[in-house]
Amino acid sequence: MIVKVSLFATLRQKAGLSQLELELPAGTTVRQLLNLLDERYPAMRVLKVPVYVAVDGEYASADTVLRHGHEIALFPPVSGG
Amino acid sequence: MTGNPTPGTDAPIHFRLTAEPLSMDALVALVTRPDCGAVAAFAGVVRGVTVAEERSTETEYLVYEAYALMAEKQSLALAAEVMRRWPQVRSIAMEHRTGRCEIGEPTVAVAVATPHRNDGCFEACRYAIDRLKAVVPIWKQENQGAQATWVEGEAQSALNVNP
Repeated sequence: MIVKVSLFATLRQKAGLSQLELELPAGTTVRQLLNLLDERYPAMRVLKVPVYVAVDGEYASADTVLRHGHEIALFPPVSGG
Repeated sequence: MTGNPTPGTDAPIHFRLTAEPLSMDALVALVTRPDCGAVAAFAGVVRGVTVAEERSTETEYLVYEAYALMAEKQSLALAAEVMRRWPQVRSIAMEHRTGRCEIGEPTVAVAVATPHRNDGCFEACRYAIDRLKAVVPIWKQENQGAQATWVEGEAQSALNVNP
């Protein structure tokens, strides 16, 4: 299955890109996605720093199962206001 | 995103991200209705000098980035939550800037209307700005000279996947 991952703020800066498309095995969880991203983009340190994950605009947890076509976003704790 | 921007009509929830200057007057007008005699409005503005423990740091300007699709979803859900918690809230409007904001400029604005001031107007407005800052996906970058630093909010354990 294919998913789109968007990165924001510090994560975008550290990875050096704002969006990527990944082919993942069916049933991949958010935690497994983070493990994969940590291997491919170690500069983001996605396993070490606070990270929020959203799937289709809703907050997800480490156990959330990803599906084909999901719009995923990874970002640091928000700082609006 | 508003159903109908005309004051006093059926548009109880409003949220907008914009690169243009925010107007508090316009936001207050948006929530004002014939059945409401109280409007509480909050503005967050760019602070040029931050004093903490006898040290002060200066900011020249801020730049805001938003994840627009999700910011809209989360803000509308927050507005609905505010109206559930304070059933006397008849309308609520929230706007947030994107892009570059100068010192003294409003970057976020919240306005809430109730029939009377003690119907939860102040509390609802405060709750809305507090939650907006915690859950709506917007980030600020502080700029001083050539230095640009992304600010990270306090990590909420409920949202952090690496708690």
